[in-house]
Amino acid sequence: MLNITTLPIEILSEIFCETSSFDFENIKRTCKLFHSIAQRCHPRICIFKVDAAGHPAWRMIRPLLKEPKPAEHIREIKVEWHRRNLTGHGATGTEQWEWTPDEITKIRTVSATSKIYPHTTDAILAGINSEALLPFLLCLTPNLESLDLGAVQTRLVVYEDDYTTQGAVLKLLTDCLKEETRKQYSVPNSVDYYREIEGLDSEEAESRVLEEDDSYLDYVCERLNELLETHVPYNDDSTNECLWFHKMFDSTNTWPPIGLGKLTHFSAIESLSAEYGNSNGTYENAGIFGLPRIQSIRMGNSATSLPWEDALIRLWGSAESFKATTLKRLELYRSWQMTEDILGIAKATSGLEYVAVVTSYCRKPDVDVELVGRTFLANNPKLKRSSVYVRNRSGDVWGEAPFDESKFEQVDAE
Amino acid sequence: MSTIKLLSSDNAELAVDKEVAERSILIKNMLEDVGGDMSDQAIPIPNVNEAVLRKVIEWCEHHKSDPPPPADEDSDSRKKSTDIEEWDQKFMQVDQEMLFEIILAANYLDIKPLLDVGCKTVANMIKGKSPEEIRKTFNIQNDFTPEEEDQIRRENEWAEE
Repeated sequence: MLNITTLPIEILSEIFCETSSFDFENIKRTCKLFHSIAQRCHPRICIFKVDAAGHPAWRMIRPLLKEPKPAEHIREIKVEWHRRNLTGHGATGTEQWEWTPDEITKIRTVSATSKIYPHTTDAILAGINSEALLPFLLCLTPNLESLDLGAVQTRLVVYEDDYTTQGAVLKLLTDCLKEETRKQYSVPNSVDYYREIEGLDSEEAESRVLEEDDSYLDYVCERLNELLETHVPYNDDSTNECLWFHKMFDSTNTWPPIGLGKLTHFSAIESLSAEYGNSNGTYENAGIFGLPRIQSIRMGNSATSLPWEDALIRLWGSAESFKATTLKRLELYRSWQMTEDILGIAKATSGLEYVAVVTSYCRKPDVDVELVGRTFLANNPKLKRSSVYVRNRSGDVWGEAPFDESKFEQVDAE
Repeated sequence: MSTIKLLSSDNAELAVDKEVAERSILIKNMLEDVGGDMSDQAIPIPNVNEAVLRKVIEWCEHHKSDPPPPADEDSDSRKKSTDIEEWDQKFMQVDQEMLFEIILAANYLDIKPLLDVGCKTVANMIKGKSPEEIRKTFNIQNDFTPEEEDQIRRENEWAEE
């Protein structure tokens, strides 16, 4: 009887290469034959788990610091978000990651030669936000073809936006710190705070708590910000919403960003809680269009608070000369761009074979679907009405292409 | 359209459209070598039995008008690794022995896209499974000593704790 172990070795290694790095370890532990084959080949698919309990993202980088060659085999990266979750059940925290002095030296060297954004390196070394490792990994994967960012969660802790939950957030974060630093950020409960820090007697302290006085909350927030600034440095203006991946597109000093030179497929189902209210995402969104081999882009909840044209000017000095000629397939879902931004994108394309744009821009006037659709047609000779789909917030539709919204709906798995 | 005959390892003669048979690079090259005229003589396929050969021909029939695979590995049409089209998924719903037979036949006959689909199908059977589950799925003996198992667990730096 024919058994998997009787297949030729070259076929077995072909099969193994179609699985992910996580499967590889299980394959190696199956039997001696599989172990010896898997030792000599490398997975093409890498699953990058952000902040997953058991911190595999940190763990994954460790052997690559010693020997980066296996990363050259990676063709596809899928990012999964396992942020600490206040609303969830069970343990969601991951412990602070500690690098050896040797590893720190290597990280600094790679960061310097690859021009990684300095705060990204700081965040990698601080060992709390494993998302910072993604741009670092991308410095080691020159043959990457497909990147799926998944449902992005920029926040370290997923929680309802409410001032009063800051204490719980702080607690969750300090719990994952190393023993010696943990004490530094622990805060007393509210009664103790009024007694110990504001020097009130018990009765006064309790009445202040009942009054829902803000000074305790202010105190907690201050401590939280202090912790974030020291251990999880954000961008310069210290906003809490920053995706390190975006920082790869911040300048054209190294263009295309290392690891993205061969990228053909980009996908990001950004969740609404990513809250791109500020300029985060602007350059990334425009920058993806400018990658030299990009063929398909799928972006959910993409926003540019700065006009598209400004992003192009910032990246390439001029909006006129920019053309995304290799792009064949474009899906923008719940895009927050205004009509003129989408027209700018339409004018920058020329080889599209399929386009779907579903907008969420909320101010009046709503996006003009016919103008957008016709502009895509005018700039892309291969497009037909049957391969275009444009829908605005009011529900007006232009074009007859099929569009599968379910691909964007796997948001917020937890 | 011209028809050619294939002779399976168990001596069954199967008539196939030339165009369909030429999905196999091995057969295509053979036909070119003999100048294309094989109408009266069956081509022996000594490594593939009738049942498997019929299955392979069924696949070639369905995919006869696919564009030729790109020569360049880097090229555009390389699909994302997890994608198997629906028809192929159904086609591959066979018992393991047949699945491996198809893979071996595709390898021997040099039908790269069919080999890819076969490998991806097996890969999907491995994905997300523990070592024990993999062994169960494919009926593999665990031939590690407990010491060796320990050793491998220590090497295991990609995996979760």
